[in-house]
Amino acid sequence: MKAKIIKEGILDGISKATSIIPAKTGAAFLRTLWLENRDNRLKIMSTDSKIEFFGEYEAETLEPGLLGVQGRSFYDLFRKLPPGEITLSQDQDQGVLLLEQGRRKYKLPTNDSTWFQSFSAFPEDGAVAWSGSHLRKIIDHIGYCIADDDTDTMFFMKMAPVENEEYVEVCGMNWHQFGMERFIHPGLYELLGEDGILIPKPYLLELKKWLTHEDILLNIDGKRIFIADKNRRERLSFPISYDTFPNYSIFLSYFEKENSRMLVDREELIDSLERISLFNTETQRCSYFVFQEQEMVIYSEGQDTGEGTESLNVDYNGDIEQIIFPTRNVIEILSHFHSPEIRFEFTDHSGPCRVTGDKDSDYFVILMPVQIEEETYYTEEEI
Amino acid sequence: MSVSKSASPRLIAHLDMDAFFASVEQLDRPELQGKPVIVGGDSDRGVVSAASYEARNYGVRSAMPAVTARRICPQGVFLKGRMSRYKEISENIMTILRDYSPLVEQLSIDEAFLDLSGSERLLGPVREVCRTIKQRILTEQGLTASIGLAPNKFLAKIASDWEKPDGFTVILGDRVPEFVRQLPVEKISGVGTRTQTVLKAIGIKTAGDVAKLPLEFWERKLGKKGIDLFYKCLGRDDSPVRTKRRRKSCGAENTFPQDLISVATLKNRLLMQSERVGRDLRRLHSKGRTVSLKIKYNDFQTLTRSCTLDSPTDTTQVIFRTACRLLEGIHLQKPVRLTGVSVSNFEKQPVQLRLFPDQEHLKQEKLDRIMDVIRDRFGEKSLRRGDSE
Repeated sequence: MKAKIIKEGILDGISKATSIIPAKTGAAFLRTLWLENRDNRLKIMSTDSKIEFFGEYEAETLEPGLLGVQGRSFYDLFRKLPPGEITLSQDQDQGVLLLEQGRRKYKLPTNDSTWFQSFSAFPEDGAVAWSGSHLRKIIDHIGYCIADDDTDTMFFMKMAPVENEEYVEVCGMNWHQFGMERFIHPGLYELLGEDGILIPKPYLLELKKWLTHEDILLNIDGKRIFIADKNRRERLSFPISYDTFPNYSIFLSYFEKENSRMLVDREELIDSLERISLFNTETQRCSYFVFQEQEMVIYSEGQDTGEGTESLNVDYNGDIEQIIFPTRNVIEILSHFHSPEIRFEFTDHSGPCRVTGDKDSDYFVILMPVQIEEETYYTEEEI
Repeated sequence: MSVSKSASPRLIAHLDMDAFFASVEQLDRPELQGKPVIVGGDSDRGVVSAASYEARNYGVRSAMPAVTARRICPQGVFLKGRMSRYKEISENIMTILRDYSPLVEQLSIDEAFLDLSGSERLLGPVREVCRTIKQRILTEQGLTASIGLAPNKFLAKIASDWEKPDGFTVILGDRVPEFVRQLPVEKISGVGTRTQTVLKAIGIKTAGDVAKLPLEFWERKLGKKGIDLFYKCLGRDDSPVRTKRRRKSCGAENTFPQDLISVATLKNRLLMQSERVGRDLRRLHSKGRTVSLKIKYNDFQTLTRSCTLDSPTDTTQVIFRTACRLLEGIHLQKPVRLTGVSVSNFEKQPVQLRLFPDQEHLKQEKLDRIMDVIRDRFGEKSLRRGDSE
C-alpha cells in the first residue's frame, strides 16, 4: 500500500476514528485503525467491537492496499505533523508503515491485514434524511439527563413514535431527572417502528462529536443503526439495544392534574442560583425555594460557607410553601432552555417537578426535589 | 463617651459523678457500702462498666475484662447493672444542674458541662454555686460528684478529674498558665497512644513543652490535630457548651458466652445486632450513613471496619447486609469473642428523591415498621426473623 495524502484533508477523520478506540484493551484488533487505499481514496475504519466508524477521503493512490496500524500512536504522531503532503507506504518485509513528510520519516508497526473484518455497509433502502443540527440539539437536551451506569435500564436515549400521534418523542432519564423532546418527522416516524430504538449514552456522545449542521442520513436494518453524512463519506453504526426502558408514563401522569405553578425569569434565576451555589458545601449541594405570594426566596447555608439568601419576583400560584433542589442540577436544566421565562410545575414538595418554557414548546425536563433529613440529638444508649 | 469593656472570662464547670454505677448500687443496697463493687462484670466474658473506689484499690478499672477483675479482686461484688435506675438518677442530677444554668451539655449519663459565665450577679460567687451543686447532689441523691471549674471546657474536664472522689478543683485567672505548663501531655483530650509516641520521640512531656514550639511546627507535624493541641497547651479552648448534642453513633454489641468461629453463626449474631440498631434508629427518627463492624478476637485484639452508604439508613436489612459485607472482607484468623454493629454519620444529609421508588427498599421499610409495631405491643421476643436463631 502506498498513498499520498494531505494532512488537513484527513486529520478530522483520523481523530473521529481514533476517538472510538477503547482506551484500555488487550485486543490488538480493537486498538487498530484500518487504512485502505484504492482508486485515489483512503478509507479509514475503526471499531470498539460495537460501534463502527468508516470515513473515505481523497488521496493519491500509488499502490492499492490495506493495513492496520496502532490507532492512538498513529493519531498522536499525525496531529503533530505540520500541514501539507504526507506519504504513507507499507514495508511488508519489515511489517511497518512508513510515514514520510519532507525530511521527516517515521516507522510504525502494522497489523496483519488478515485480521481485518469487514465493516457493515450503509443500507440505502429506506434511509431518511435529517438535520444534523437538530439531532445534535436533541442529544444536548436529553444527554445530560441519562444515567451514567451501564448496568442501569436508564442508560439509553429512547427515540420512539407516539402512538396515534404524528410526533416522534425522544427521552432520557436517570433516577432523579427526566428530559423529553417531541418533534414531527414523518420519515423517521415510519423508520423507528412501533417500539422505537434505544441508543446507549456513550454512542450518543460519540455521535454528537461527529454531527455538524449538515444533513445526515439515518437507517436501521434490524440489527444496527446507521448514520451517514449526506455524501456517505463518513458513517457511524452501532447495534440496536433490546433492553426494557422504564415506564415513564407513571410520573408523567402526575402532570395531568392542576398543580402549583411558578413563572420565573430564566436568566435572573440562573444568576441567583450561581451566587447561592457558593454557599453549598461538599455535603449540602441544595438550595431551598420558599414561596411567599409573588416572591420566591432562595437560600442555602453551610457551616463553613455561611448563608446566602436572595428574593426573586415570580408569578406563583399554588399551595407548596417550600421545596429543595440540587442547585447545580437546576442551573444545568435552565441552561438548556432558551425561553426568557420558565415555568416550574410542582406536584408536591417531595414529588416530581416539570420545567417548561414557552419558546421551548417541544421540550421539558422533570426533576425530583431533595429531602433534608432532620437532625437528631444525643440520647443515652443502653449498656 | 464610650467605655471600652473587655469581655469577661468564661466560667465553665464540669461535673463528673464518682464511680457512678457502683455508687448507685451502694446507695440502694447499704450492705454494699465499703465493699468492692464491680458493675458489668457478672459473667466472666464481660467487661467492667464501673468499679467502686474500694474495688479500684485492688486495681480494678472500667473496660477491664471481668475475668481479670475477678482474678485481682476475688472478694469483689460483681453486679449486672441496672440502666433504668442509673438513668433515673442521672435525670435528677441534670435537673439540679439546670437550676443553675440553662446551658447544660450532657456528655454522658454521669457527666455534664455547665456554662456559668455571667451568672455571678444572679447566683453569687461561682465557687459557691459549684459547692452548692455538690451539696445538693449529695443531699438529694445521696451521691458524691467531682467538679472542675475553669475558663473553658478542656481545662474544666481536667480539673474535675484532679481530686477525685468528691473533689472540687478551680483553675482560673493566674493559675491557668502555671497549671497548663506542668500538665502532662497524656492528660490532654485527643492525645492518644499514637500521638504520645510522636511526642515522646521529640522529647515532649508537658503542655509547656508543646507551647515552646511554634504553631507552624505542630501544624506540619500533626496537621489539624497539631493546631488543636497547640492551643490547648496554651490553655485555650473556645468550644461552646452545647445544650443539644448530636448523636454520634447508635450501636449494639455482644460478648458471646463461647467464642465463635463460624461465619454463618457470626452473621446470625450480626442480624440480631442490626435489628437492635435499626429499631433504635427508627425509634429516634434518626438515619446514619456509616455502618461499622467491630470484631474482638479471643485474645482481645479488636478490628473495626466501616462503610459509608450513598444515603442515610435506618433499615435493618441495609445495616445487616452492609455489616455482612464488612465481615466477608475480614480474614478471620482467631475465634471471635465479641461482635458489634453501629451506625454513625448523622450529619444533616440531603437525600435526592427518586422518580421511581426503590421497591425492594420500600418493602424492607414496611417490614421494619410492622415488626416495630408488633414488638412495641407484644415485647421484643414476640417476633424474630426467619434467618435468626
